[in-house]
Amino acid sequence: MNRVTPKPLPETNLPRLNQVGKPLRRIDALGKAVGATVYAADYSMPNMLHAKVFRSPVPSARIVKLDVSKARALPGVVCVMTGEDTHGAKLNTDLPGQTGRETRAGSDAPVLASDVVRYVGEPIALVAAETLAIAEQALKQIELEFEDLPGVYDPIEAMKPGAPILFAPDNVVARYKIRKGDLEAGMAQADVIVENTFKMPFVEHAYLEPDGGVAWVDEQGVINIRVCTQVIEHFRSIARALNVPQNRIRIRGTMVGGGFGSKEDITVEIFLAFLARETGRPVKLVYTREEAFAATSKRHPFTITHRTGVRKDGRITASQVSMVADSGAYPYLTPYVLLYATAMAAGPYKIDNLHVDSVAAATNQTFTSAFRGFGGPQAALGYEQQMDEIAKTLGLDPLAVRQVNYMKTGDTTATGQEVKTAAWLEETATRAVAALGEQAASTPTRKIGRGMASTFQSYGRIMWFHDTSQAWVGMEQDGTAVIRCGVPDIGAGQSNSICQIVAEILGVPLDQVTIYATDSAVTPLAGTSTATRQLYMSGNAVSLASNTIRARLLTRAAVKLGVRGDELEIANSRVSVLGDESRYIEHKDLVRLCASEGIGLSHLAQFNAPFTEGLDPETGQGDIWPDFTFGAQAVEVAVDTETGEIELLKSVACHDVGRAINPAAVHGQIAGGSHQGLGYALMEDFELQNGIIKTPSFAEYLIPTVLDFPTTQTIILESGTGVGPFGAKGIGEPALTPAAPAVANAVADALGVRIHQLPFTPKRVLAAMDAIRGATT
Amino acid sequence: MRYLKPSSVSEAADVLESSRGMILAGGTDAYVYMAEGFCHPETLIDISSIDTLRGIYVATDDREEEVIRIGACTTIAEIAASQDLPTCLRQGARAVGSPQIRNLGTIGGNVCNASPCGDTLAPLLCLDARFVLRASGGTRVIACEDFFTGPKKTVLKPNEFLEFIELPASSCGKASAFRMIGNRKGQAISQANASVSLVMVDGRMSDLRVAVGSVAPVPLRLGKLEEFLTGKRVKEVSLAMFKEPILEGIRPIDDVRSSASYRQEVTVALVFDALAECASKDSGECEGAGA
Ligand SMILES: Cc1cc2nc3c(=O)[nH]c(=O)nc-3n(C[C@H](O)[C@H](O)[C@H](O)COP(=O)(O)OP(=O)(O)OC[C@H]3O[C@@H](n4cnc5c(N)ncnc54)[C@H](O)[C@@H]3O)c2cc1C
Repeated sequence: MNRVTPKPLPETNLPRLNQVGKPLRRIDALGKAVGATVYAADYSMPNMLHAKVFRSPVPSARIVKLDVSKARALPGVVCVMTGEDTHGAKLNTDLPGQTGRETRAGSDAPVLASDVVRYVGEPIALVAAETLAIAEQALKQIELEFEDLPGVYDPIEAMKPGAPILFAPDNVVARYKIRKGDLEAGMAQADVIVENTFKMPFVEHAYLEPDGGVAWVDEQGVINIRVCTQVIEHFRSIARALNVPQNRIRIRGTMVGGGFGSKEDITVEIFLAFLARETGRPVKLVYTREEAFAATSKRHPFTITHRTGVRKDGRITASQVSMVADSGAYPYLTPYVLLYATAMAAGPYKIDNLHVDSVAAATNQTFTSAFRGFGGPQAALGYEQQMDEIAKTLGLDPLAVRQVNYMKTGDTTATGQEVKTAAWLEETATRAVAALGEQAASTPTRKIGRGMASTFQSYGRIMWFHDTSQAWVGMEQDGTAVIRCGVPDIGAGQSNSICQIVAEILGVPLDQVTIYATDSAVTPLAGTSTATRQLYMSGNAVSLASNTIRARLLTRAAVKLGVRGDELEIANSRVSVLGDESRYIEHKDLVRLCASEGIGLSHLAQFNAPFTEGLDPETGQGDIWPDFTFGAQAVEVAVDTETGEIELLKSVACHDVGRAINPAAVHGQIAGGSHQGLGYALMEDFELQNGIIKTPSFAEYLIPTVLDFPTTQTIILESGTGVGPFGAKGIGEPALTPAAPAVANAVADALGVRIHQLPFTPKRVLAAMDAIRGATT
Repeated sequence: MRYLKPSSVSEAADVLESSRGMILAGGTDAYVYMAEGFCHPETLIDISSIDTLRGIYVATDDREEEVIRIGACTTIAEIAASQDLPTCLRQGARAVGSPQIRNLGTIGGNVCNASPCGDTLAPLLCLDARFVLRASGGTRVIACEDFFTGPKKTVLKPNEFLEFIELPASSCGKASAFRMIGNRKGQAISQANASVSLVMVDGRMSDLRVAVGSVAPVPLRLGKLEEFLTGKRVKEVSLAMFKEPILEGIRPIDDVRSSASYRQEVTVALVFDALAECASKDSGECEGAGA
């Protein structure tokens, strides 16, 4: 890549703030540092039972006999449940817990399989016993006889006639198309047509905290489930599966030790609900690491083909993309993940003539569902590797080709949605590349390469879900603030950001704000901690609620201080006259004054995202998301040509986050997201062979350690144009997306050839080297 | 399950004789096996706190020769940090797992576990190590070459345990190096590893030992390669020249960590690299135990 200088930033007009925008110590930091934070597996209750799940050892079979009598007879076993005992209950696996409109993609999975099993790890029976050891022993006493059925282990095979059917009628779980402009005319204008296919593996989320929880039935008959989840609003699907009213299920979320999308699906809570109801006793279930690997979702493997028409100057005249995704044994959120990938397939480029065709098919493998980026990272691996291949074909600099094609504010995405906020693609890309500095020198056996990627990623949910979030904010009589908001904190600082916003608006220090969160019964429902939506949705909801209170405080203070409301400043737990600090009233006095006069200082607010009705099914045109985050990453690698090892030398990521509510947290999100994306490129591979998991634990499934990569340098830009509070955009998912394609491009740069399949293990690198050596001798 | 913690070697030998239990050192392999249900010992004999099984010092062996003696329960971390041991063994120890694993795991456990990918095995083999095996009736000494009989299999009898590892005192005067390749930098299991020791005499390689691991059921000496290289200058040999003697010697397999063909190819590169490092120093650099 050529040397570049950072593109100057457009003028921005960010208000000066007291708390927002400061790297304050997060409210959850100390508890985590000293081990005081209580996670789901830490809870226990008197008289509690321990549960285990009996799972399928095979990927495709008919259950001939399931005999649990010996397990039931084991002393200390209190309950064994099979599909018969759950009356064939089904889970609506495609309902990611909406607050708004219920939108079904048509996918259910049995709570317990009773007829056929479709993947290794599929649940078949539940055991609850007095001790964990007895529950484990009981699992061994369950007798399962099965007859192997033919299975299918590749989505393309799954769509061929005669393939075993997992999802009627043809295993196709979802299919989309985009038709924009005139593809043939666009191709005809091209000087060159570049075509490439890229492949990506299954990936495990590898959160630190395995799924777990405790459930009990309280004195009102409500089934309480304390669980680590990204979605407390699954209480509705659980109620449906148990056939009880929705107000009889209460989910109390805990601090989540990492979710990354995997805890967006229902995991232990459905089993806990059945067992607690059946036994009338508290029940605890915590997955082992191996179980968390086998029994929860994975990132979708994709095969993506790009056929792009380009002119000699790099301008894309037409683009045709096809995508095939593997949904695994049950659809779960596949229809939505595929939609995301489809809509982002062409990247953040202005492409007038575009066709995208995508399909996802079922196989007898671990099911796939949400994973940080939700199809965006796979799409980016397609379009960003293709951009470099185009540059190589044309003999142009990779960044230069992108600069010709970058979309700008006012341009439309693949689905025809106009980008209304800042699209700082050049701003982020030039900064990431420039920050790499001098390039190391190659030696004959150590080749240095550089790569970059520019990506965009939505934040906020699909707008035809009619997403909403509620938050309650109130002030206590001593001037402190309380928030009640059902936001699950999955470790990304969701609660903290909300507190920092309230602290800013009400002028109280952060340590005088307390939040009660993630309880489906007592905290106003705030939707899911997914889709990079919480800062946007609940941040806006708390802003609405606290601005209402702020207005009441200012109105009353104005009378008291004898000035107009707009002549006041609210900060440091007092309201003071602008320019005359000696005239003020402290919050504690002001709140008491309001209380004595009956002026309410609490408020429940609801924020609604924009609502739309969906895409045109023939053309795939329409608006999908509230907005997008734009960013870039650049890396430098060294490839050892004798061992095939890749060393990551430098990594820089630059994102426009709109406004960084807490810059330290934003840095953490970008550095962490980057590491996860780098692992995707270089080592992570959840391997299955004929449906059998070859990487069942951390001994086989490798994720990067602290020794593997340097920390990604982060450059945070703030356009102030986002649709979140204070102009914030979202960063949770966007942080991951550019890392893997940047590495892919750097490795291709170092080797002179591209490896079309992730991850770039030493084995694959060496095979690519051999292919070159073979070709040249 | 019974858990016994003998306080001396003879007591350990006695309880092993009477119970035929399983020896437990750092437990970093043993507990994994128990958790996964590969073994269900009735008796565990924890030897990790027997003082005499720990440490690195100079001693005289059964042949009245001076040796560097390493207690079986010396931790991998202690091996890695020791100034008194040849480079290749320290490098091998450093390649084991993570700091936590190295602080608990022992060299005796690494040896007796006899995993083909154990990172101290090739170094011990290329240093002519000998193992002192203890039973209640006495001790016997066996050469490292004869100790391993297959993956996770050794000549240890049910009533025997490893007491010491002994290296010729001369091994400290040799140049040596260890190389491994894993799928990542931290906490990685070797896909292949290689260890070389030699003495340079007038710029020519002599007293050469080349051992490789993770590419056959047991760690292997590459005799043919040693023969081919002996007497040569490092500059005279190229990677291509010794590919054949290496590939003839090894029998790698395909598994989830790697493929046979990759292991073959990379073993050649690892041996070459280790050789180059040895050649770049003209003498050993460890101080020698007690020196
Ligand atoms: C996360 C992890 C990462 C690892 N990474 C590596 C790695 O990179 N490289 C590597 O080589 N190994 C690795 N290991 C394996 C293990 O840590 C080493 O093999 C270690 O040296 C074993 O020593 P220990 O003292 O813990 O043995 P233990 O677990 O106590 O024993 C292992 C076996 O040897 C037997 N045994 C132990 N001591 C004696 C003795 N003195 N006499 C007779 N029998 C004995 C035991 O009965 C048992 O069968 C790893 C293990 C884990 C859990």
